[in-house]
Amino acid sequence: MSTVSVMRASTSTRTRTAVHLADAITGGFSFIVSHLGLSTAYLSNNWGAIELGLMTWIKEGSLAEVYLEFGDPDNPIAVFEVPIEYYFTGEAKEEYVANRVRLARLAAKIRQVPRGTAYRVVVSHNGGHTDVSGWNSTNLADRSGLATQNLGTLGSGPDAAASLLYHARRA
Amino acid sequence: MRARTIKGSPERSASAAWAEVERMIAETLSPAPDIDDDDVRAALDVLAPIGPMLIASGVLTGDPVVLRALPLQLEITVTMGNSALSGEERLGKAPGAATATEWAIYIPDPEPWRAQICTVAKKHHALHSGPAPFEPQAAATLSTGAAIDPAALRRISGVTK
Repeated sequence: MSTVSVMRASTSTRTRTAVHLADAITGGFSFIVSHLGLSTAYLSNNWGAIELGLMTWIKEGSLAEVYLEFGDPDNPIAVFEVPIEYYFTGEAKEEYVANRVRLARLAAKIRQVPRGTAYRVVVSHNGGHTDVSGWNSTNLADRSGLATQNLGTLGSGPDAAASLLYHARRA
Repeated sequence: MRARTIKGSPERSASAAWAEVERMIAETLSPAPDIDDDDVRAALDVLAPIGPMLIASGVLTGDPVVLRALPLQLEITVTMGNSALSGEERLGKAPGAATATEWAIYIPDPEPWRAQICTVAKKHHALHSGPAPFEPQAAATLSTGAAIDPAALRRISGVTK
């Protein structure tokens, strides 16, 4: 009986961690795009696919990184990278943290981009993963020549955490 | 004034939480014969693209979406993180709008989302950006005059007829 109980709790926290981190990431991207003065139409129009993809892949542990890329992928203006770290917590306390306020305070570090700059959301996986409708294969943007800044943790749950790296050209 | 809190992540995704906000507004206005259900649906359709974004961004944890259908004024917030794991929630219809003849939805518009929310709000006559007017109860009381004692007002102002 106790074994069954533990397994259910583990499955449940994994699902909740996936929902929580998907929210933290999509919410963070929404903040960044709005802060840069760009339309959020791309995010809004693809919200369902992005949300479902992130939740599905975090839950199965296949999501490695999420990227928010600005500009031409061959010569991007800026890239926000969200690496996902997974860990086994056993019976650790179930806590969900999102650093939305901290991200807002760090907004001054994010340099403006030209008006109307195109952007896209891209993910990379650890090995095999479930197909999610709306996602297509592509190549990551070329980040060579971009300087990297660590903006800290975006969110964390019992089973995984998401941090935020900012890659941009030096001023 | 009524307040309802919907549990967001990690209990439900931003899309699922927004679906509950939509359902609460639609079901609350549905008993009012003077309010057109299709008009309400049209307003909710306009909000649909930004609703989940406002939830995921944490905007609705502090500032409510307000449904104003006097005598009901309903504040809807979405809890997130650890606080979404505890407490009860009452979903669906909130009572009090059956006699309403007019209605409006007020969407919080903090920066950096203000410009986009203002743009969306202009797409339907019942949508407004920013906080809702205060004191719906006072407006209802004044219309009946029941809470005002003219004699007391005369005493306060020094008029003694």
